[in-house]
Amino acid sequence: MWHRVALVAELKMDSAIVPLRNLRKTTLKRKINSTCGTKAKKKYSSSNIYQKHESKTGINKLPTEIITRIFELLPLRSRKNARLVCKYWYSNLSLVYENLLGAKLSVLIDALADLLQKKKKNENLVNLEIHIRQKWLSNYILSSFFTLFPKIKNLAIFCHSLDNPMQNEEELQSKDVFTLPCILNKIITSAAEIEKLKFFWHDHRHRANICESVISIKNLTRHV
Amino acid sequence: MPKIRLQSCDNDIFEVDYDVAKCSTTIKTMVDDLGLDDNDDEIVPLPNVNSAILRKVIQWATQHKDDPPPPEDEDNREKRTDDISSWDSDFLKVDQGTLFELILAANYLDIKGLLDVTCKTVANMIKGKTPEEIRKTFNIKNDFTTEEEEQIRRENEWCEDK
Repeated sequence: MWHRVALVAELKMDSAIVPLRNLRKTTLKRKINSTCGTKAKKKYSSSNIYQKHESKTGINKLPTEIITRIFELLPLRSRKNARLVCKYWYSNLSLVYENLLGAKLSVLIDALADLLQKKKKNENLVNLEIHIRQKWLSNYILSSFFTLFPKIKNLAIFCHSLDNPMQNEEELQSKDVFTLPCILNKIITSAAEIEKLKFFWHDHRHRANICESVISIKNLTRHV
Repeated sequence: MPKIRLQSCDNDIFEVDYDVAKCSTTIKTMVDDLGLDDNDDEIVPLPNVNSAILRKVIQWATQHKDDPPPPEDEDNREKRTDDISSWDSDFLKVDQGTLFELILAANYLDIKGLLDVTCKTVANMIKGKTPEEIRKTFNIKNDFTTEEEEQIRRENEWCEDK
């Protein structure tokens, strides 16, 4: 009784919410059971993820997808600190790294492979530089993420410079960037660094993709 | 205005405007798929949401019922956490247990706006804190060995601060 009085009193504060305890208890459940097949029942049944977390206190009781969603909102420094909180967070943040980097590193490596092929064909590299910038450097997280990226940026600048030899020629010459071996060396170094990152990939599919890409880069460089 | 009745897991029933209820994609889909209308006596059961949380969810949905639909393309959207409105900020001044239950309810009911704002609130509780401060905030036990912690610090060295 007191419960009902309290409930009504509380709900009166908000006219949009009306308690109707004594309504007929014919529920949608019955309708679902009588009119829908297994698929629909499954669709409207309780979330499995939710059911796993009966004790509804503590951030670590949240489903992995939610924890990941929260971590994706964090800046780099906070992610680094969050990885050190506990094993569950470390594991979830590794997933975030995978999601962020797994696919995108593959794109980068493909771009590098393209670079080699285009160089072999002596094609214009300006578009490639733009491609790398758009794909990578516009992303504020990735541009600051690993020490790899400044090197890629430099590589893109070198590529651009190759098509514009008159631009800052003295400066570029002093850095000895015109030679193909120099560029290849940078690519191989980048590939080696990417390879070192594999400990971030707990998902074997990601790891396999990255390793495969690195091998293809190495093979390409051998034939140039 | 059409009404819809929602039943919490503890059997409380709430009558709300359809415009408010349809903030939840889960409820909207159920109603649309099963062809319920305002003359129908059917009650929509929400077995994963208790009455206290359902009341909060309805309060949030009532406030936001006229908001434009959130953008679909999340990947290209900047991940900001400093854009929580003052109403939402006040609304989410609750204990951690309630906040996490709201997240679970928003996830189950598929209310993207509420899920966004609750996740941002938790992210803001993590931002700028040391690992120890984060543990203290969320009452988390450090289950790393010294060696494991050192290994992660080494991994973190790969990350470059802006």
